[in-house]
Amino acid sequence: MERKTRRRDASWLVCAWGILGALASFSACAKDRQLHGVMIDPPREVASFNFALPTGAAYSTAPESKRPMVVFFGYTHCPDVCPTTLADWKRAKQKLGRDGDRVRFVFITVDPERDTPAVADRYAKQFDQAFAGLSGDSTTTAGIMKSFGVAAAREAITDAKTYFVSHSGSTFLVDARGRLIAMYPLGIGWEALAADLEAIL
Amino acid sequence: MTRWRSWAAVDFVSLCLVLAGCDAGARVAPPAGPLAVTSAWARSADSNATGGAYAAFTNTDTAAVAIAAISSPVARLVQLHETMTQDGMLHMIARPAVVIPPESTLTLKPGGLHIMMMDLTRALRVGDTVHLTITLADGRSVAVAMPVREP
Repeated sequence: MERKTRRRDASWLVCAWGILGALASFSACAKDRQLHGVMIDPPREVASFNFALPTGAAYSTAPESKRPMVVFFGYTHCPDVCPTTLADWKRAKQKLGRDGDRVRFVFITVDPERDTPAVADRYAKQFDQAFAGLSGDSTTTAGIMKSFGVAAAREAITDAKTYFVSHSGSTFLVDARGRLIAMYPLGIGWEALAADLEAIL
Repeated sequence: MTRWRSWAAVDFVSLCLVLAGCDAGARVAPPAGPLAVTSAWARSADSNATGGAYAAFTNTDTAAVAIAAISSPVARLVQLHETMTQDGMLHMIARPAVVIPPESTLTLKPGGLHIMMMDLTRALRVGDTVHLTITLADGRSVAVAMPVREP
């Protein structure tokens, strides 16, 4: 293609090289950007899903311009990891100040049977009013879990009344184009998420 | 009563790794009982939800201390659990027989060993106090009052 351009018009060549140069330096910058989380390279597109909110409105996980999305799969009866994760999100959001308002923090239950949309929403909002707590029907839940590559399994405990759900413990970072770019395993610390959000915002 | 998992015995080794030695020489006043509970706190939670709590257990005795049971007026069932990662999945394993070696401290912390309070009979709000009774294997018990903090 460049050869053709050269034959036709020298000025096109200058222009083309200029564009190529700009593209090359841009991609170099993008490549150089190191995140503190476990980077997904190349970034992987995740499918979008709609969830019913307790208000009756729908929440779509489709990408929104200039708004990265932070996602965690858990359940509200989880007393240790889930609250620890959401408390970490709160710290990260506070660190970002007003920029934090652009981040979509989304908690998705893997236990929709117990966690109704109202329960999931209330749970997430205990940490920050801007957090979304979503509960989908079984098809939506299975679909988004598959898209993010997470699994969950119900585990009975001592009495039949209660059960736990083993689940993936990572927070996922999706960029404003709907691509999964990094994961934050339990214990990596909220500072890593805050720094990466700051870098991509 | 509580199901022991076959691999729980292996995990007990990792549990022991978090046990820190306690400097006996630094002890000033003789303790009232063998188990001192410090830095205890509970997460705020809704009624009927599952609550989590953390603390540091120090065995001031020269003999090992085993925790046999924990109860609280605010929960139907209280157990010690440990969060474990296996094949990329987080599991919670009941720890029905936690043993604290002589003169050492076992620290419960988020993402690890924690106190699980199931079917809360009332909401736990920041500023509330939650009472626990820890029963030791020898029959003695320790009363704990924990403040409720933000989740």
